[in-house]
Amino acid sequence: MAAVLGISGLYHDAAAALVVDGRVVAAMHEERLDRVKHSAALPERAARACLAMAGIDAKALDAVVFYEEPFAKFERLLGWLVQTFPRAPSYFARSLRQQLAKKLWVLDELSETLGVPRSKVSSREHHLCHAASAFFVSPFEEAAVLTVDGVGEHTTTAIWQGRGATLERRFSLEFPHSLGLFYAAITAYTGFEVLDGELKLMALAAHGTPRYVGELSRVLHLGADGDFALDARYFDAFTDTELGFGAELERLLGPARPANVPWDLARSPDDRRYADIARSAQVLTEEALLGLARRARREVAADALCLAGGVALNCTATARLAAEAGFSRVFVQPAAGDAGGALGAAILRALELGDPRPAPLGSPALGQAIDAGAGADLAERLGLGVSRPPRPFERAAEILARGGLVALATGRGEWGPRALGFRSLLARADDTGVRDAVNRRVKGRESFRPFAPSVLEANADALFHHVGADMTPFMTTVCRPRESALGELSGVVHVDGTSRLHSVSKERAPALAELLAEYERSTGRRALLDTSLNGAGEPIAGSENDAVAFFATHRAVDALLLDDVLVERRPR
Amino acid sequence: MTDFALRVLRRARTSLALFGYFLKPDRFFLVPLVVVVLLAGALLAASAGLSRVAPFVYTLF
Amino acid sequence: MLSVHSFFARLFAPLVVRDSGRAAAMLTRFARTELGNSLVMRWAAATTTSPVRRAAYLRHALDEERHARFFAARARKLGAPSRRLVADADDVFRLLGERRFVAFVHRAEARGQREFEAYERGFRAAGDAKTAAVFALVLRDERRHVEYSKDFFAELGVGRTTLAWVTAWEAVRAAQRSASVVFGALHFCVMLGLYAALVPFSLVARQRSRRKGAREVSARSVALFER
Repeated sequence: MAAVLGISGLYHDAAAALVVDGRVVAAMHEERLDRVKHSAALPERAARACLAMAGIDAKALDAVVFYEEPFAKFERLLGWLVQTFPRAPSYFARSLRQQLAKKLWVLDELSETLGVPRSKVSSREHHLCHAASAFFVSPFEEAAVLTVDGVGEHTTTAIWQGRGATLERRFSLEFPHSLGLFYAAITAYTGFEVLDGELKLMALAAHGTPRYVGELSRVLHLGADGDFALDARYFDAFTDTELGFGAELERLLGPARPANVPWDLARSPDDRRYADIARSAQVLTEEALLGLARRARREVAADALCLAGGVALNCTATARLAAEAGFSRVFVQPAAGDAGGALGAAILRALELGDPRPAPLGSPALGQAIDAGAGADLAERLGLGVSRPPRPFERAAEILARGGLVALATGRGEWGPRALGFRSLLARADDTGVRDAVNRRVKGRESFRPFAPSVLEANADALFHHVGADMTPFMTTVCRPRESALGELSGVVHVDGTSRLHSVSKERAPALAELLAEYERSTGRRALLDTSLNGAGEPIAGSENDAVAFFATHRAVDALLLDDVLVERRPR
Repeated sequence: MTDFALRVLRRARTSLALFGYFLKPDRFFLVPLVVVVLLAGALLAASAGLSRVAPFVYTLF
Repeated sequence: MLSVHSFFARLFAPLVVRDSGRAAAMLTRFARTELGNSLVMRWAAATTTSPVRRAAYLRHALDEERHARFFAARARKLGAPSRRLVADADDVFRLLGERRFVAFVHRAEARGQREFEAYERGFRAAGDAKTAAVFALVLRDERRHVEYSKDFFAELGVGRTTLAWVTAWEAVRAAQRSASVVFGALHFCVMLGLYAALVPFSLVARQRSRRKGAREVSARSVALFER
């Protein structure tokens, strides 16, 4: 019977997760609290919030576990800097500075910050934490687990056998041969910010044709049996957060795209070239993942596959894996990236301390709850109109039906980077004009990026070829709409004919389920455009403060639902 | 003992552990480098804890 | 110490104001500062137990975010490169407690107001009415910030002692920041020396990896290319 706190942090996507007596009690991203997107801090706020949610004091913790081995990481960094000398002195200086300032002492910092004895603070291997974060909350008793990311300490890719409460490594690849770093390099080449732009690259890929697979195959050699290798000639330096692609890559592909230049796929042949490169990178990555998944199928005699690591957030790839890798079921938990490592670390230690394996992940609502009363008070003080209508979802459905935007902030916040009905911005899904308004006036994203639909579980099969049903409740895969449904889904289908479907059940997301049902009752439409509750460049809303602030700042949004409290603008 | 002294002591202990981690056959040759790097790290202690930009201070240059 | 900085800022403002490159860089820095300020105010709003002050801090945070957008937009017009602003700040509310925090905000905003008034005059005198207008817009909010923070003095018990304490604290932080610049420079020199020290280790490392042998990967990617 143990209380274990897992921590991920100091690189990007810091998070904390709390497992008590084998149950996942709370999990939060630091960015939702410190309001810095992809926060790389030590997640003190998230840790304290998790403890508060469970009603326990830090002194009552049996263990605190960090999602990476600091010494092993430092060793690899030092070894690699020595090997690549004399290249990249600036990377050298920056990396070492980060190690010396914070990263080597992370276990001491955690002990001091949380007031937990140093003897109770430990670390676990990065990829093992990834594997644990997926397998141990999956619905499978036995599964193959594939972890793919930029790099942990040394490992970039691993195949595991998951059985009951154990994980056994079967295969791994080491730095610098990394799919995550390859994808990050092309992300940087295309002018996007690394660790934030990979999703943009994936969206851009759908607009291109894979004309550059040959060239990129020289950068990423795919071998037999899931093996692959990066050709170091195309990179100037390799650290875990900074990948310096070199002049050689530009000789191969043409000049890199400068950052922050507006995109024009319709009129710019250069931008179309980048789309083709993106598509080629996506194809190669998918092929690499398929190779690994097929190897996993052979190595591990299991019918189910779990995926984790940053690359698992590539939902276009997970769809291909679900269709072609030969597994009957595929599972990716919502926080598949580094934040998930916190959960994996906590579960690993809990198992070591004798607690049972957690139940399969039900609702992703593991964060802090909305205080609707406090939110109502705040909204009033900010000059907004507050009411408690008898049927708030009816009112919301009305607004949505006429093309308005409704912000929904209810219950506990989601685990993972996707809005899953607790911190969502909703609009009708069948109107591209409304979709464009959402983008232009609220999200400020590149026009080539699609929006995604939320659909009641009961309607998913009617509207989509619903594959990957273990993933759609968490928006970690894409599906194709049925021909007959295209009219209802015109605002939420990507140019390649897929949608990142969110399949909604009453058990997992009660408020959104009720709203979808009400919307269908009044309009006959069965889908809503569902995007995260945040403006451009900011993290998803966490508390009622963030939700009200978002509503106050974005005048294009017509209403905010804070649980059953309706916030609207007062007539001038 | 002051908080600061305790912090230093804990990190000294971690440094020793790091040193020990490198005292293995295939890492052994990096040991002198580790020692030098740690000494350089001591210089960073003074600037710990401050954000890069001071809040509410508008610098001219 | 910061009022000294303020004095010199106003003294040297003309140097920046007449050079659009320097002005653009300065406005970008101001945008970053405003973003940091908004974080500080959001954290304060999340931590205070008073609903009245929470609303005030959040309103202040949203103002600072708006200022950041104004400064960044004007900086871009003056030729600053378009780059995403990353905020970073100290949790001043947690460091000082609410009483001293409110005193800090009041003093900081009053100082900012004086400086921005000087910049507004300076840019107007230099013929750049648009940049002057940005400062005028921001100043409207700054004046409100100075007032509302003062309104909380009574209920929080902010008096001369508190204000003096905050002044001293700010001076110490400014000194710490200057010191860390020096240490940073020293650290840079040490890193340079370290980098030179890498040479023998690099040679040893290369020998060892040559002995281990390079990894071969069969060319499945060639098959893809030929598809």
